[in-house]
Amino acid sequence: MSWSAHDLEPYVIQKELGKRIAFVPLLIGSYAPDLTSKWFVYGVTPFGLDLKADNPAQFHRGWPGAGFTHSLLFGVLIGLILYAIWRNKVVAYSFVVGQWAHALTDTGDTVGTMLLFPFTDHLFAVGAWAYAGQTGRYVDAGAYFSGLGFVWDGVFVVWGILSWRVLTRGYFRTTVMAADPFWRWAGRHLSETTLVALYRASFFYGVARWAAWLIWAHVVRSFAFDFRWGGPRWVPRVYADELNTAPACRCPGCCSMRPRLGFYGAVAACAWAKGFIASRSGRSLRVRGRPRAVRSSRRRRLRAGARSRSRTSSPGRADRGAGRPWSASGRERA
Amino acid sequence: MREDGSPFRLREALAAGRRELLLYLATGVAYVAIGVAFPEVLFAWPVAVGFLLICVVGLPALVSRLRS
Repeated sequence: MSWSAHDLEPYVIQKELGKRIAFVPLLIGSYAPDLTSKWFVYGVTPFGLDLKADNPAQFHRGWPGAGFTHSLLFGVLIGLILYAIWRNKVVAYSFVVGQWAHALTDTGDTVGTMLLFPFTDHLFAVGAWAYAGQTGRYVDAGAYFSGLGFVWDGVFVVWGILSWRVLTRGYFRTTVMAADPFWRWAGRHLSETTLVALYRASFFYGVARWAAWLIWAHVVRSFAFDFRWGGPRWVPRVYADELNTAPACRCPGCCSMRPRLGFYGAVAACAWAKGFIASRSGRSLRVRGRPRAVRSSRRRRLRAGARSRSRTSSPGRADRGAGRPWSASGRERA
Repeated sequence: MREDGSPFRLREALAAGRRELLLYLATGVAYVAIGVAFPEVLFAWPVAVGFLLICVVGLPALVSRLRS
């Protein structure tokens, strides 16, 4: 898991895509995978009731569990639902971009994410920093900010600061508000200063939190720095191969995770997509009226006719610019 | 101004909103200090947003109202 990258990624993406992306769905997409599951990973105690997952890593990233929220297809499904509700392509794919950024960033720890779920429950993990959610939020924070995790977040802090243009009021007014319907709606109720503060809030949260955790881990508490691949050696971590080892469930959803079935599913999806694209292109050709070959030969004939006409009437070419004041002949006449 | 509405140079941006930048920096420093003292605060995004809105929007509005 990443502690500040998910707050800062949307600003970096916003800088790259400008008006082609809507900021609010992008931000929600960036938070979405952890939105419903993180509280249960670390545990909460409302009214003295202790709510915590027995196996936090399995619940957070595995299957059975809420690990499907970190798959690429989850983002696409939610994007399709958003498109069905709002009929706005930019809103839909902005969510998908944000969710994919989160899922890909989280492959950096030792557990990784099930990117290709439900075709396979394989956890794709780079393993640069330790997944230590099971140790509780404070030890997890200490481990993250003592290893390569905080370096990774630091990259986004620096990248975010280098993308300072997206934080300016002029950029917000011209680019962010123009692309995102949320801000236009909110602008009817709130002042521009409030809107700009809300827009900058996640950046503020990401940078301030990165600094605060770093100070807390090494000044208030004395967690030892250890930049080895896989995170500090002093923290107990979970690895990808320790997850998804539950006995196989026979329901259709779980069966589809088997690699062979996943492969067949992928082939079927590709075949369907190819047929869909072919039918769409066939329809668009029919709408245009005639096949491309006929159109190009007609264009060639027209071009040849124009060339022969220009050859026969070349003396008139000078007269064409005569009426215009900026043409040589026009100026001479004037 | 560039096409996307942002200034050409960082210096121009800082000159235009120096007071605003200082306000954000002071808010950030205060939030970091509170976060280091009470790390529980750092877990809640809504708390951070509320704190930012109070410091950047609420307090300046209150001060200007009191002055006038």
